[in-house]
Amino acid sequence: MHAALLPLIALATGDGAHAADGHGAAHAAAAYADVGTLQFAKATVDTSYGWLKWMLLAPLASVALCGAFAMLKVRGRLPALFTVASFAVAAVLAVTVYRQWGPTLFSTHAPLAVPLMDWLTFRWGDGPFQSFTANFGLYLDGISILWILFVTVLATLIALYASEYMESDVKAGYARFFFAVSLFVTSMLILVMSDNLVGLYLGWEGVGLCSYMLIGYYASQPGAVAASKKAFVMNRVGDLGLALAIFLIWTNYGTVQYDGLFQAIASSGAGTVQGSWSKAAIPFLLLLAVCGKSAQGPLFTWLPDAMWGPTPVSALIHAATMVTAGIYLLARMAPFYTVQAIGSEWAEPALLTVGWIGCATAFIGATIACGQFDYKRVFAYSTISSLGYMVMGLGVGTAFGGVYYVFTHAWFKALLFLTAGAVMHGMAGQVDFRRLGGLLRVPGFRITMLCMLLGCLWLATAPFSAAALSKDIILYQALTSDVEQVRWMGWLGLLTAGITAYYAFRVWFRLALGPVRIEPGPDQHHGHDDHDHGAAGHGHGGHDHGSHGAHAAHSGGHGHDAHGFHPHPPGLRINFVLVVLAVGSILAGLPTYLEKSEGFNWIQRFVQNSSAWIRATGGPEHGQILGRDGHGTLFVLATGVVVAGIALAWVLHAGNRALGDRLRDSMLKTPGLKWLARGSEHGWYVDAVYNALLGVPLWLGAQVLAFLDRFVLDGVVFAAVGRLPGFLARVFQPLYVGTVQAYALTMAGGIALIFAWVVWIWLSGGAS
Amino acid sequence: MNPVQPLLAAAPLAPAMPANVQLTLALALILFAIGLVGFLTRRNMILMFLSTELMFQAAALAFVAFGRMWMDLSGQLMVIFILTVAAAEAALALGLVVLLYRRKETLSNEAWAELKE
Amino acid sequence: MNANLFYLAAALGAVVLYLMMEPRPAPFRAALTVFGLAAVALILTAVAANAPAPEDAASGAPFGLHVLLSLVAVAGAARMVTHPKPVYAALYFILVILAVAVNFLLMQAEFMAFALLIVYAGAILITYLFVLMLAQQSGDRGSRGEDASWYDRTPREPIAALILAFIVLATTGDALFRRPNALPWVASPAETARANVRLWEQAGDMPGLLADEARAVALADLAKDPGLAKAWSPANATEQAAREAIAAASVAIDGGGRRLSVSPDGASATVTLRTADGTLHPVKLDAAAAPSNSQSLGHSLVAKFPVSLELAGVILLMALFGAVVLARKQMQMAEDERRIAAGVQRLGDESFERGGAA
Repeated sequence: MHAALLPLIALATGDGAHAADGHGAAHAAAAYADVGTLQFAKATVDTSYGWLKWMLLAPLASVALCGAFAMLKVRGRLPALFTVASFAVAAVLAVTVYRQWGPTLFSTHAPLAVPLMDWLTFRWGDGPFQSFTANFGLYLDGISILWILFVTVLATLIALYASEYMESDVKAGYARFFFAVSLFVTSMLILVMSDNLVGLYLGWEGVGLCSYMLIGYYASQPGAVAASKKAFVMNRVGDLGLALAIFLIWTNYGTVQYDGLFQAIASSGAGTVQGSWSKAAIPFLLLLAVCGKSAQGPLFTWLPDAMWGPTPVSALIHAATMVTAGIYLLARMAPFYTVQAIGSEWAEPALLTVGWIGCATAFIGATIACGQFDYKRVFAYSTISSLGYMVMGLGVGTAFGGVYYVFTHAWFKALLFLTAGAVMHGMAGQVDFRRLGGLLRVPGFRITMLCMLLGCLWLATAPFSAAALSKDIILYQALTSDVEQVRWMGWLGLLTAGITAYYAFRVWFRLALGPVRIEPGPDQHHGHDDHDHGAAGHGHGGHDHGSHGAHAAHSGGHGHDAHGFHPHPPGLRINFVLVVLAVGSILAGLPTYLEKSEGFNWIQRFVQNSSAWIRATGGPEHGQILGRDGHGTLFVLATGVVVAGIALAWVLHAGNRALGDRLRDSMLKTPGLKWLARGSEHGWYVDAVYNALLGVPLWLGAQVLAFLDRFVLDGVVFAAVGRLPGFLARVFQPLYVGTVQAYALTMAGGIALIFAWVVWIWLSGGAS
Repeated sequence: MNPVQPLLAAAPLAPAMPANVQLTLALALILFAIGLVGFLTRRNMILMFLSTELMFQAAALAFVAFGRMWMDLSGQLMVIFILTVAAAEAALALGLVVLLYRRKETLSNEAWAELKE
Repeated sequence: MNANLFYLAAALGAVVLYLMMEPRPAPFRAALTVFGLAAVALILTAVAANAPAPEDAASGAPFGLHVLLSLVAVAGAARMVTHPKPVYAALYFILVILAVAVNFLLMQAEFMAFALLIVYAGAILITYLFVLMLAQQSGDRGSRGEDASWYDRTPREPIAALILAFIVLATTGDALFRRPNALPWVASPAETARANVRLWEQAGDMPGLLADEARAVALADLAKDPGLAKAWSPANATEQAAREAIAAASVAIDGGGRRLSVSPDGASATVTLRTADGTLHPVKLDAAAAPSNSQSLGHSLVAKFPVSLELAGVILLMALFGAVVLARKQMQMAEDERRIAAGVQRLGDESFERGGAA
């Protein structure tokens, strides 16, 4: 491995030297996506790891059991038990395989391949493009192991949390919920562990389906149904990209198995690649898939609406698993973003597009999050923003940074969503943080709020937090780059970090500090007279997404409703999960904390020993930012913007809330600034733009088609078709003379013709 | 035991004369075709049935000829069943014709064209 | 087969048949007859074109007989479907049956030949004639009030029917004869031998007949060679004693349960006669002693097709019932009459009691 890395590092540093020589942007840009000769070790096939199939079979068994429970309408808490137990089994297996195979991956790039079962195997010749193989096989390299580790552990914790959170649904959709969650985790594991692109696609579609089922879980509410449809359709747009990319990959390389695919890319010499559109399209189509699944670029608007789902679902989908599938795809398919794979004229634009989409999404997500009053939606937009960071990390050339941020983000974002869920759970579904306050002093909520503080600190990338450690890698790589565009991404990312700090603490200060203020949400009537866990209504997502004016008018009416409302503090299981996640968030930084004593960062080694390693080069060891030492400058800058953001949040939302409210009012009244506040609060009207660009033309087209259907098809075509049988009947009626012989003649004639035909075939050698 | 055989062949089942089977089959085909023509062109119901009997004859001839070709008695046995069916058909068909004749006082099948309506 | 000749001859026959359908003057009819027979002869020639060569000179006469019978049968059939008078048509059909029966004889189907004559010509056709004459005697009104025999003189859609028949004839002819030697036409010697063996085995199933046949052959042998008497009757070597011994002899059954052993080519079989004193005498039976066609048929009918035989019986029975039901005069009976006929109480009649008068 070291032998393979050395030329790369030399190459990267060499490029830096060239840039310092002042050879101009063109030269540096050409080197940007050129990582030299690719090398991939062949996978080690080891069938003794066959027990890994239980990682898939255990959740699948839970799927079957929960499905049976849901179908038979059995009421009970058993589905939660199955789900938690099966996820725990998968987590234990994941840790086991990490302990057994992980050390290998610290030192050498040799993925573990475990063939499980034949699925699709076609052969129509012996040539290179005359077979198609996509079997159920596992392919474990650094990033797969990383993913299964946090997916299974977080899924176990979240399922445990959900077993308490969903208790009010024991009589309704409990089994259905856990069925979908189990299927979701199964699909995610297939996605991550499959050894070919078709298996990945299977898991990809599986998680898409499950997210649809889970977002639309409260199917009696139109908003949830609309949100689930929106998520589904937007994901389909991305899936189209993935499907086309897989087709093109097969037509260009003749295989969809990772092993053969990477070998094929590596074996095509860097100089021999001809710029063909079909190869050049692959990275862009993959990027489209990533945009759909990871809520990037133009396709991010489904994610905030996905908050209609139960909160554990938000945590599962948005923090830990589904949205990171896009990052996984990008990391797994990183070889396609190199000069060797698609030629020099396309590799660099592809990579820059990835970077810019990530950067822009991070920035836009952060700005929208500043204008939201629904704390769950704030976290949703923060997820979009964080995902943007990850994509940007891959785009600017540090897969290590991107993947590490996925890992840390999974922990603290799950923590944030689950604390948000706990607050919603206790406050009868209240999601507007302006109606809550001082929760730190409300009995029973102290742990929740402290955990949320930790989550917000991590989200704000407080210095030395795990999140900061991972995010700084991305920023450092971007800011020290030779390419001017990439440096711009870095500066924008730095600004985004400040905004992130501001909105994260805007939520926490409003919720935790200040005078105690509790206005129960729309679900309070369910939980009003019974404070038992099981009966507390919650989570029915009564979010009034549309008009905040309605909120204001509504709040007056809530005054007397609050009488007699007692917050319903989270129980043991929820608190346990929160604490575990908080500890996990802190420990996520361990790889970096222990870097000095261990001698290496194990996540970095994992990424370097995977198909993403080509982008994982460290870059210049001692890059320069603003003419000074890179690491030190970045630390000062990052800490500065974060502290500034938190300070601004303190002033506007804790120290002097009236000032914050007045500021908003004056912004809304000032014509020049009005658009800023309103735009941020309405998500920059992206949905409205979509509606205008797609919805309205489609509606008009539908009207035209409806007109055509009603008047042209029904009125003309079908009328004509309807008359045709009658016309034909009149034509043929004279044949029906009524005598027996006429019918006999027709019948015998038909038989004779058929017989003549058969004899003709027989005589001409057709059958012998 | 076998009064006719010595006239025709020395062996108990001597091979048929080579062309016989072909000629007989050709005759069967011609008779069948003529019977078909008769069934389709005659307007007299009785003669229509008679034409079907002609087609039965053709079938019987073909059975016997093929039986002879394969030296198997099953062909002749089939003719027994053909005779049975033909007799049954004659009894029923003629009964029907008599019935129909009583109704319309004619044997012309065009009197029975109500199927048209 | 000469296909073009076959099609041409069939087309010629179709034209002739078409022209025969309307009543014609006598010279025209004669010409038609000539052309029609020529057409049939041409068809036969075409079919026989690639026939295997006759095995021996003796086949000449049966071949000519076959051709002659074919011409007669086709002529009778053509006349039957075209004759304007139904009774004549039925009589021509009898001619066809006669020709077919002789053809059966030529193919060694003696029983079927006579059965055909008796059942068809004797029974079925007579029934047809009865019905025809019954109908004509009572005066036919015709379907549209036209001349009563109009519909017998005027063919219906003759051209369509002839084209159809031509297609049927041509395609079946093609199917049968187009490929040279698609069918063997002549049974192979092995096939014949197997058939003979089967025939002798049937004889084995008929012990009485077999014993009679064996005794007859033994007596004939004895008559030819009186010296055999000592073998049959060692004690008293007179011919009379030998005759008595033969008459008292029975057929021995060998170890395999068989009454006779057949020579491999099936030409002959050997039966062992056991005389009263227990001595065994093989007797060789030749072709003349084999079961006749009707015996063999009867055996096959009960041994090979018993269910079909029963079904044929059921069909005949049902046809009998059907004919009775159809031909019965339809009577209009009042409700009371029907009830009396069915033996149930009349409506409103309290005095009627079931089972007889009170």
